[in-house]
Amino acid sequence: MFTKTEWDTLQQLADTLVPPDDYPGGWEGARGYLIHALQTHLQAALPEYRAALCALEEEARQRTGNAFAQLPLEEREQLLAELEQNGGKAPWPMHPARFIARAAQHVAEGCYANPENGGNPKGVFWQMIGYEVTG
Amino acid sequence: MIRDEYDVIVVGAGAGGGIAACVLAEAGLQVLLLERGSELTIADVGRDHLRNQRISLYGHNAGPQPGDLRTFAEAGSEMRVLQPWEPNYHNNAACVGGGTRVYGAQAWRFMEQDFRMASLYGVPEQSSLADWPLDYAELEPFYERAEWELGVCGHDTANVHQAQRRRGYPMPPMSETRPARILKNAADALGWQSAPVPLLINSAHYQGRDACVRCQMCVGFACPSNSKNGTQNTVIPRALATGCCTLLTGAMAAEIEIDGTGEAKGIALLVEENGSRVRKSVRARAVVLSCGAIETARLLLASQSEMHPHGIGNQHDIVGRNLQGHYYPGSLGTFEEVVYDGVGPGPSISTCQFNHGNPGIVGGGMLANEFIKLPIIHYSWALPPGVPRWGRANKEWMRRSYTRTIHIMGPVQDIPHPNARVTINSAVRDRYGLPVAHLSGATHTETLRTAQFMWERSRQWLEAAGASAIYGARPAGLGLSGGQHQAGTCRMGNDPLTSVTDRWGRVHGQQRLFVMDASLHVTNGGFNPVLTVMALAFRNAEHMAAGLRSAH
Repeated sequence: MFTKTEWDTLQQLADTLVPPDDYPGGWEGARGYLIHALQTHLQAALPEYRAALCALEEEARQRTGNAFAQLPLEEREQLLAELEQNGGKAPWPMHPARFIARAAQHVAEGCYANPENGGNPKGVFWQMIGYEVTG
Repeated sequence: MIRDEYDVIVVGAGAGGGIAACVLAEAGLQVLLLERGSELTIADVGRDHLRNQRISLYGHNAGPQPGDLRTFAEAGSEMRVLQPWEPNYHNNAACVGGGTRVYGAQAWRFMEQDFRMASLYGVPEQSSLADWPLDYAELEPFYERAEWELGVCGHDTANVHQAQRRRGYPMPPMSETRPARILKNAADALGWQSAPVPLLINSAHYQGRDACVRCQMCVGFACPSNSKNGTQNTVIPRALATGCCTLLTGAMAAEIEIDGTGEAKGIALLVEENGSRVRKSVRARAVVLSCGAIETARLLLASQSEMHPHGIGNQHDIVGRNLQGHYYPGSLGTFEEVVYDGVGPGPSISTCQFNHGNPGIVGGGMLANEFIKLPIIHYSWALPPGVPRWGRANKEWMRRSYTRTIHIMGPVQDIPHPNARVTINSAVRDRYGLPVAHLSGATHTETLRTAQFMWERSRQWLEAAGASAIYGARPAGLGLSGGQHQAGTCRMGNDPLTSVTDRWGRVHGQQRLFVMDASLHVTNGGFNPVLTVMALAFRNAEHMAAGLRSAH
């Protein structure tokens, strides 16, 4: 599905979109969902994901000399914010702002939808926000 | 397994069709009830937060199926082909029970004024606003039947703005929730009337089924305790118990068939048999269309012949026009303290203070607090301005806000526009090879003005309730309203030049063809319309049964 670098970039992207704290981050929350979704109902988005993850890695290398996955959270946040605002220099499949918005939605679907969709392990994100299914 | 001929064929087993089948079968008539969807168990409907009738990002839980296409064109933009779960499809569930299998079950009677909007307000320019050919008093006994025979909980006298009722509700309202308490105090402070939301849900054991377990996945889903009263667990079982009604699922009506004089004589339907699709003709003494406002219009328009070149009942180009649902203005309020108590289904307090009598506004609408939100809906649709879509601030907002937000909204009385309409698009075919419904046009500008007025009232209510921040966009722009509240496409009336059916739902110029769903609604009230669909179905089916029996 992805190269090793793309996996690393995706993991850190997810953890930038929903950063881990005393509750899990986006990777733990959405990993299972994303893997499943990108092979099923989001399959059409897989090429965009590949291209965008490569572009994101290239932007990180050009600006910091480091892999995106090696940057601390603050620098990853800053990079995404800049890309959203000013666009990028790498070959993006769409405006980076659009990709980031889509990825944020997909990661949120993993974290906040029902665990049967592959994310939100044991409903941990529901516990975080105070939503409980009693009936 | 089905016969060649019945007394009545009812097309569509939703709110209207389920009741039609019950009344006709209990009158001893032989009824064939057709449903293109299937009978869905609670497990079939499931609890998928990404695919349900409330948020359908990647599919649906209660139909229609992939390939049941429609097309849509906004003014000045290209036509788009849509799957049932996509925006602008204007979907309603397609299964036994129809929308009532998965609805939120708000059980509103329209008000006395809602039946005479044109007389009360005048007809705004370019609008097709009209009075109903019947009044509230004539429908009142049938509202009562719907409330008692399906089962409604509510407070009999709390709603001072609603019209007179002869009899109370069969069940008391559900116990008060925390948001209801907060909003009741606020309404009192504003001098606004408020009342519990009447619901087609058991608040106590009723007709052999248990009380609601107050869960958090009501609207858009099937009820886990079978306490939500749709036609699938009330009137359809009654119809089947008579032995006079045959329910055929997976049956798609392709066309209304006519005899040599142009009168409806039956339905051509498509069913699967031994793995292949076959077309069958079934005759009947009467045909009832209860497919919902879009599909009923589609079936009439698609039934073209030399005698009916523009479709049946469409000699004056009215079938499919005046499509209306509801604009839903509303606001969200953020509170410092926790206002969520997790007690479903959610809508627990309402006001009818602004349904009518608003200076300079044509009609108005009801306001209520919203159903318990799925967390992904809170993320997707409840983001306040200034909060980013991702990052630490977003996660912190999700963590803090879910239990500290109240959402107030409500349906405003749609002011119909004749160009908001359903037509037939023969260039695009659905999975049966049938021409699809094409949707176009937009509501009248007066609808938008009412929506803006009601949006201000929703803010006022949250402000009085002590919300520290109030947000939610002011309604802007004219669009097509339809969706689950779709109505108006075969309006009733006394004049065949301006209406599709007579005051009993019989298609003008036809002796044996009836419409029995929200297509009949001349106007759609400032309320969820389902109880009115049900009341009309009881009234019209009784009338129809009497006619068919005396003709025997």
